[in-house]
Amino acid sequence: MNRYIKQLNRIVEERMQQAPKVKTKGLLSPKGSTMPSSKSNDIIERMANYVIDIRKKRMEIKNGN
Amino acid sequence: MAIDSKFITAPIPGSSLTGEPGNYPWENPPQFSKIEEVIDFYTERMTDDEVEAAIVSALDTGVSVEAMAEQILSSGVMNGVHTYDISVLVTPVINEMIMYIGDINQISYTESYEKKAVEKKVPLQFAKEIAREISREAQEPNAVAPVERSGLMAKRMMEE
Repeated sequence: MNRYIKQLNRIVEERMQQAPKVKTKGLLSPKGSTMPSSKSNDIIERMANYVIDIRKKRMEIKNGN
Repeated sequence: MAIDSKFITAPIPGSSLTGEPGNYPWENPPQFSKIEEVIDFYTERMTDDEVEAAIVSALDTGVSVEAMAEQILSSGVMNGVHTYDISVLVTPVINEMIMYIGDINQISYTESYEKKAVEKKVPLQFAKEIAREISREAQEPNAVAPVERSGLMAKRMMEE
């Protein structure tokens, strides 16, 4: 369990440090919004996406947004 | 010879195998078998006003987030909502949810008792630096010289 949590935390921290993607405009831009917790085959990736979703909301609250 | 009362009242080894299988919720197939379903179930439960109030009061009294998540998930396993395997996978998400509720209600909470114990300890390097500074200060001569007082009521100094 500890190994799983450590791996998950590492992925979450890596993703949180990544810069947000720049939105592209034009015909080839992706349509609709994709939530980070969208489907993925890797279970740790999926759980990390859920954690990132909630953590981002927590950060927004802490920053006063 | 005194016999421990717990030893007498404890079940006989293997007694659980003598009962009818499926008597308990955890012996039956779980209510939810997919992680998404389990997360949705807990999200709904935890956003309920009464449950949220209970979580907030528990956090306020000093219960750690990890301990609370463990309790919530083990009760889910006992009630046959999901399996233990799923509860292990979902633990970090439930932890985050509890912390989110704490943040919304502006409560200072303890993430885990282990982390708290580590935080209380002074790091060895830091302690060594403090000790070095104190010894340095003790070795340095005092900048303020003692004022000599003269008069009848003045304290007598020892003659060298």
